[in-house]
Amino acid sequence: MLRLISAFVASIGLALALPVASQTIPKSPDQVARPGGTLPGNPKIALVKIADGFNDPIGVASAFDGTGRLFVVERVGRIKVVNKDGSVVPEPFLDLTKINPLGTEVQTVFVEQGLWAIAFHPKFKSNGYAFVSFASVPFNGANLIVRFTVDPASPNQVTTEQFNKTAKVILNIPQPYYNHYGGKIVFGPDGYLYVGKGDGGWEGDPLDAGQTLTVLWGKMLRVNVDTKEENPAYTIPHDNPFLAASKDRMMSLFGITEEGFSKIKIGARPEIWAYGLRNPWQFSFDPKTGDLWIGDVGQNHWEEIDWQPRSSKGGENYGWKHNQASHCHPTLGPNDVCPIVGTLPVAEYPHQEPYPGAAKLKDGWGCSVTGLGVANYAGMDGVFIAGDWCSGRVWGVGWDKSAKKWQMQELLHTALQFTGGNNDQDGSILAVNCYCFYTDDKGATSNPPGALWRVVGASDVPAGAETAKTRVR
Amino acid sequence: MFLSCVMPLVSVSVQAQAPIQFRSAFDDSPLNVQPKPGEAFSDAVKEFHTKGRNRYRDDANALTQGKALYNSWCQGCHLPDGSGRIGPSLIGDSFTYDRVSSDVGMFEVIYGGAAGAMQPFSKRISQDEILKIIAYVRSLKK
Repeated sequence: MLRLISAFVASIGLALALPVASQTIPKSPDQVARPGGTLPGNPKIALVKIADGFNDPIGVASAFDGTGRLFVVERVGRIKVVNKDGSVVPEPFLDLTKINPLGTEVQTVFVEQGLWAIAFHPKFKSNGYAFVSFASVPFNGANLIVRFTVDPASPNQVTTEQFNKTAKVILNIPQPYYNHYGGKIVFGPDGYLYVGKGDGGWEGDPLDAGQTLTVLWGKMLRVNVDTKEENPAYTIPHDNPFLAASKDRMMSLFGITEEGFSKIKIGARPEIWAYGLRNPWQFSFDPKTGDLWIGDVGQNHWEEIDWQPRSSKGGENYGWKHNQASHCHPTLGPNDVCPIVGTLPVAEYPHQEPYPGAAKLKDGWGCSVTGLGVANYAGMDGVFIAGDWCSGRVWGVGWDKSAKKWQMQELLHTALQFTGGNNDQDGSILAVNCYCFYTDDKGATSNPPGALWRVVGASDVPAGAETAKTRVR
Repeated sequence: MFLSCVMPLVSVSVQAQAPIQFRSAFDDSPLNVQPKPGEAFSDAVKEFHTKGRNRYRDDANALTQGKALYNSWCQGCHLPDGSGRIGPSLIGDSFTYDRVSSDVGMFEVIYGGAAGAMQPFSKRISQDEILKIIAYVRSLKK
């Protein structure tokens, strides 16, 4: 009897211990969160400055190696080390402007071109592998993702010799136009490398890249870089959604359902994890649950935030260019009617003009979403924090268990021009800002210096710390 | 009788010389408009600080320079005709910050910055140049 009871109790305990995913993906536009909501607990945050003096910082990452160092990515092609105490190492960790005697490796002519990200291998402490993603000069602006090895004897500086000796190109993805590259690369909880790719640019996706499965633009990619052999540089994870879909097979005209036929996608690139994206510039995994959040920069009227659970098998179509967030693309007016294609975002926010000719909004708008990271602290549980490059607003998006819906709350209105972010090893969220232009940019080292910030609970600001100024109503 | 004639004159002239307090469009904090090292204030800037009047408004020479400055620093976001794309329109009837309807207010936004991409141009150009830009922007409306 006792054994029965204990088995019963144990099974209850097991059931309670398993996380119950109560979030649901919106099935209609009215379920998509917009500004004006309140997150559970109504959290209050502040941005504490860690360091400044960076040339157009557009990315930051931790090596997750216990040293507390942060690696700030400068668009020009340099990476700077910030020590745990906030001091900045004067010599760059990596300088891609100097590794080639013929000139810089990094294309920076247009503001969306440059060195975008660094990601450290999950086993960096033992293998020393780090990966950078940048626009290449020799390959005419193509997106290169390159692995190099950090010499443990020189942990804060990768010399030209060391880089050139150990460089291995993982991906070389050509680029048709000079904008919408994506740029961030992140190792997922599954150990695979996720690569956000923009639709290749111009505006409005004239190449229809988002919906075209035979190209890598407009996609989230997922590749395995832990190959047994030197070549190939990467392999396709066995469970990538389009691997089976694109395989060659015997022809059969009958005996297969329409659903079965719809799963055949000849020519689909097997690297694809999700598609229908315009420019997934910054994206993040929830350090606690492994859920994936994507900040997809919008066209003229709406910014989009997508979410998928850890359990997703991939293959989501986020709708670009038929839809922009939960709206029609092109947006013509206030009463557009069009089909919703694929998977809706969980949250969206408008530009100052939500549709051509609309009355200009005074509040609650932005123009370019910069995902920062996912917060499981300061009273937040799985909240995606995103800044906006033009308005300086900081949004929090999270699931409201009791209301059974997604909430989007404007947490701060700062003066900052957010360019990138990431989760630190301790789970806190990091952000970088620039003072830069979009068109007619003055050059990647000509702007006033940008800074590195940490998102903290408003009541956790250390005494004497400098915080980002905010507008309070 | 002599004193009562003099006293009102003295108090009126003291009021006229009080400089304008410039405030950030972002959070209304006081803006420091002291000259940068090596920057000598033009007469236009001095008049603007005391009276809030931008004498470049009707100055053809200044408008030409203002156009060149606008095209260098502003048109990337606000477009060459001021109608706005990344940055809001500068030629309509309403502005993101109400104060922009006055030259003092527009100066506060340009000099001190507002939010996000509207960075503080005090880091980049002189106050005299900002006045010329403002004069040019106002001329776009016509």
